[in-house]
Amino acid sequence: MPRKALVKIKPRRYKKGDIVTVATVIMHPMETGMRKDKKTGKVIPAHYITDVEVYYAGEKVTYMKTTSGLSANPFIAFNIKVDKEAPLKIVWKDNTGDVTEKVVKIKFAQ
Amino acid sequence: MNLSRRDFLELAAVLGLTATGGDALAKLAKLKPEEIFQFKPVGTVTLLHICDLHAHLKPLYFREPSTLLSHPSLVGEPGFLCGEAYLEYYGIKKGSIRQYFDTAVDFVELAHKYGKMGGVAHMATLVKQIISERGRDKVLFLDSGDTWQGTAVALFTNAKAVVDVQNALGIDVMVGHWEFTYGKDRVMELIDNHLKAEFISQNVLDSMWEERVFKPYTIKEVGGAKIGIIGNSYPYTPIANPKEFIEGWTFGVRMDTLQELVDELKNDKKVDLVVLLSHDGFSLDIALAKKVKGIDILFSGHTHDPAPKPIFVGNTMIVIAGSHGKYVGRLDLEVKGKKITKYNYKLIPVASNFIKPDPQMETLINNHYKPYEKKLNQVIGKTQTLLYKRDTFYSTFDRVISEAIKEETDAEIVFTPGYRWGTTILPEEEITVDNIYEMTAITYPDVYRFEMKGSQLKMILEDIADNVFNENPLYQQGGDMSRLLGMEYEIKITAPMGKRLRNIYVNGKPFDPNRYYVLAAWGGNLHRAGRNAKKFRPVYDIVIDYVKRKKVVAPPLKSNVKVIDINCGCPKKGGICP
Amino acid sequence: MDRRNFLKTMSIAVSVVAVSPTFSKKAHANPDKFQQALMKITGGKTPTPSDKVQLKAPEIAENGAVVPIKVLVNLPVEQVKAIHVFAKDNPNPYVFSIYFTPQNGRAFISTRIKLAKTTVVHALAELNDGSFLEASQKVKVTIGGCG
Repeated sequence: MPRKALVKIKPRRYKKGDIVTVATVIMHPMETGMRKDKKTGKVIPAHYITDVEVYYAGEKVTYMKTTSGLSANPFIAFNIKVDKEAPLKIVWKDNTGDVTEKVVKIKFAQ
Repeated sequence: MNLSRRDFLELAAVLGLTATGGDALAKLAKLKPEEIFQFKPVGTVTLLHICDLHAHLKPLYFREPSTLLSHPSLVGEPGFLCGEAYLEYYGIKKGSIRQYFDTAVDFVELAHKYGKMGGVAHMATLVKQIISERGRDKVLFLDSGDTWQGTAVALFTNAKAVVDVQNALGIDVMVGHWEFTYGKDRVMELIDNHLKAEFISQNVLDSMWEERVFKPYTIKEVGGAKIGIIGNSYPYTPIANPKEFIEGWTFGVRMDTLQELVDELKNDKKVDLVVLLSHDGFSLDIALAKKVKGIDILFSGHTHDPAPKPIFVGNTMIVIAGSHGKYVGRLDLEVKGKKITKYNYKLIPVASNFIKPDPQMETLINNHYKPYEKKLNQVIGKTQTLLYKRDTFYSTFDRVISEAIKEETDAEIVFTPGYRWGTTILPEEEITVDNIYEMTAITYPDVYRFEMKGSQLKMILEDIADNVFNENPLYQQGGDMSRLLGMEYEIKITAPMGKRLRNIYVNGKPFDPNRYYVLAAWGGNLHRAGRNAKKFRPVYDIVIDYVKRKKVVAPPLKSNVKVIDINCGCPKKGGICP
Repeated sequence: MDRRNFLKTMSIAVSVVAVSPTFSKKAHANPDKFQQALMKITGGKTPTPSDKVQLKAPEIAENGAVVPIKVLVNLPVEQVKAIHVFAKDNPNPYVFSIYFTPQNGRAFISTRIKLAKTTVVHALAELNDGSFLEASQKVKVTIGGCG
């Protein structure tokens, strides 16, 4: 089941050859598997993002290996050198097999 | 007024009168209030500064700390300086008005001599005088925050009374801390619709995208100089105060982005001077100035230090202007070629008895008080001993508050927060309802009783002690220890984290880490860590009823805390006692 | 209750939305956990402390469950293979890795991590020549202070 994810490119207006910041947030509990439910006393199973992959014009340009040590609703920001107008796709995968994708278009300011 | 010739001369010296001998006395004898505060103007730029007013619109007594301890490597220098050590450090004369305003030495005697301090109507007279002397275009008025909270009239009007007074006083730029305890919606409403000053902060971000909530800086033309002012609100607001008031915002010192903004102002905006208006705390700002390069002047706040002289870290000048409306800092500058070529600084004591209050400001303040006057002026008792707030571990007014809570809740141990704001009441004077609010006027006033295991309680105290006594100012939060009634302990300030407290006794019996104790607390989150928490009435109601019942209070002056490694409250450098 | 569990309690109690850091009671029984985690990444190579690695983290975390960190490697991105981040005293000291290509333009990451207690955060830059550079900073996780 895809989760809510958000992507922002900063600055909002950029031109060919700029290095932009790609800021992303995905709604995810990032459970460690070591926490107990207060009411039931049962261990809450581990549930966290394991991989984040970034594709630009179909090519994998950067990726992350992550653990439950990232805060809930993980915020990740990194740089991309934008040298072509093309889709930028972020893929989040979690330890239960869930995959969430988000695509933004890289488009240069006129 | 009952001043001796010597007092007159000292007053003349402190307040900057240049004449000497009989001439000064003659001058002072027929003083017009405006003349007392003479100052040798320099250059074309005047920066006025206040910090930590804590909503004290009317004059009050406020005694500076009798104990101000931290790690021995930090004490005895600005930031951790009090009493005799302070007088010696700044070369202040015995019995002077400067001593009265800046220290606890001979406080009661001097209070009878010099009278109350502060009051915004009195401050307004000084400010108007300076503005008429310099011209409005040469004066910029900065406020380091903790302005909106601290009295009943602020609490009852949701800070509106204070904002109106700031507008009338002419505050141009401000940052915040306790302001945020009115909740972010109210803060935004006041800033957007009422406050004339610009509210700036480079270090308040939304927690999701880490984007700024406020303008990080503003640029002002003052006396022909282009001045860039960057704001830092209190970096630890979400730790020191309940998070729910600022849900969705994140703070922090953020030195990296501060450095970027300093560079941006210098290189891109081509300003003549970069100013940091801060609520970081004096010792944190001193540490910050060692790391962030290019700040010309740093106006600090939060820790309430009066500092009559600027201190310099590299090329950064740092000043801080006390608290409770007791002072206005005036910094005159001559700026040439993007450099300060001359300056004159004075921490002007707002000596209310020597200043005629500004009638317009007085009317404005009185109008805000009017609806609450009957309630607030009510005399509920009197005190036999001096009631004060400032001390690292213990204070008499906090003792009264804790006794009141103990009676109400029947707790074994009572926690009262180590805030630095409050008031002072002289021995044999009356206590009013307003006075109680001066110690307790917060937006989360409820008292809680709860149970907590001894070991957990000790860990919390150790954690607080590490925030107060850490030898690295960057790991301090700029407050005092929580006050405890029912618990006595010894503390070794230089011991490592978790090992400072020892020989703990609870109501005369040795402390048992495995036992559950019944605690009562207010002004914090402590109850959420305990079990079986029960909510009681607001702290001010509890204390008002307690004083009414007792009629006379006489809290002991002796602290419940013994410091092992420093033998006095106000040590000199290295922890050596005067 | 030990300090970890205490902080856990506080953190749950105090934070409303944030997921709190979690701890197993045995977590601190294995002081070599950090070394082992480090070994997995470095293969036994010793990282060199370097000011080319800029780690930005708060001195005092306002919430141990959400500690913002930024790492920038001040070298051409072509030379940088990855950034690896560790929290020394977390039950699981290894937090994440990010791998770069020249398309990144800059070897930079900004994110938010969980800290179980006061600890040193380590940022390692793995270079394409197989060497490792390092920066570290202590972050204090506290329950609260004074007004």
